[in-house]
Amino acid sequence: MNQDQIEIINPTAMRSVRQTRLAPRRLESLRGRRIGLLDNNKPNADKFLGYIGELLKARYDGIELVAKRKMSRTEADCLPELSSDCEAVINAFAD
Amino acid sequence: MKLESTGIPTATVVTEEFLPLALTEARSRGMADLPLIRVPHPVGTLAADSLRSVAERAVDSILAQLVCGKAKASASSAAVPSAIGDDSNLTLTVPSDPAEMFRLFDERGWTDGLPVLPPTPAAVERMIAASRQEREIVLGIIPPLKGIATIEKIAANSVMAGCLPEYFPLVLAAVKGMLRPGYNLDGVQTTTGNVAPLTIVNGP
Repeated sequence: MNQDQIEIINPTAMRSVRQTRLAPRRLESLRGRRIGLLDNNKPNADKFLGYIGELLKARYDGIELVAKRKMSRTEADCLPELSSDCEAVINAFAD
Repeated sequence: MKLESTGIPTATVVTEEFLPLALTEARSRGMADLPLIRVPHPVGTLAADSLRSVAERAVDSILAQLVCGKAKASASSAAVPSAIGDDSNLTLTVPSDPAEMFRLFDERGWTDGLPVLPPTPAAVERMIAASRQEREIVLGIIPPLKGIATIEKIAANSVMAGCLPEYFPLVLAAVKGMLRPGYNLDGVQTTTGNVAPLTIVNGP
């Protein structure tokens, strides 16, 4: 350390992060699959997912849609249901 | 992210304004490659026709993230704010010239533009001494980036903010209060609504 420098305590914190892998992408098509649609209770998020659902239904025979809503960003009550009932989930978050 | 970790593929649609937050959250929660689909901001005020055309433009990108063998059209190339350092060194050397030092602190996102003091080892030591606690004690994990709040890190930040050592116990009490679950610090820190923490101190 030369004269033009001083020592400081690093003010940034170490982070508590556990790395998690993405789920494997096994579906070859959404035909006949149950797909979750999860919105965040913001205006239009449900309608946006409704349109996405219509577009998916037009493309894939037998697709089933399960619409759920998350009331806050930390609330997760519907996640167990989505993860046991659905084979993929589309989220629409933020305004 | 919880769904991905239980084996369910997901595609998350976010508006452009929220993309940096979504990327930061994904990274800080250990899933930097979470599939995000970007749409123009805002969608909340769009009329039905416009909303439908946003959905029509987004649907292929959504499918690409859910079905195997399709090209990955990820938004992960966008810039991510890095206010929190990845530097695990306990001490750093910085320019002693105040203006140069401030420029460095500003570049690193260590100030919101207001002047800050250097957290020298001696100044941080005085702060820790005023707490009568060990420097390694952890008060909690600060959302959303999950920084581990030790007495030493809070002391260093208090020095920077101009806190006097005799006030430091109050800062620690406020941090403890904000970390109580009912306070919802995660929400306070990430909402685009106008909220700011307020501490009312009463006493002699």
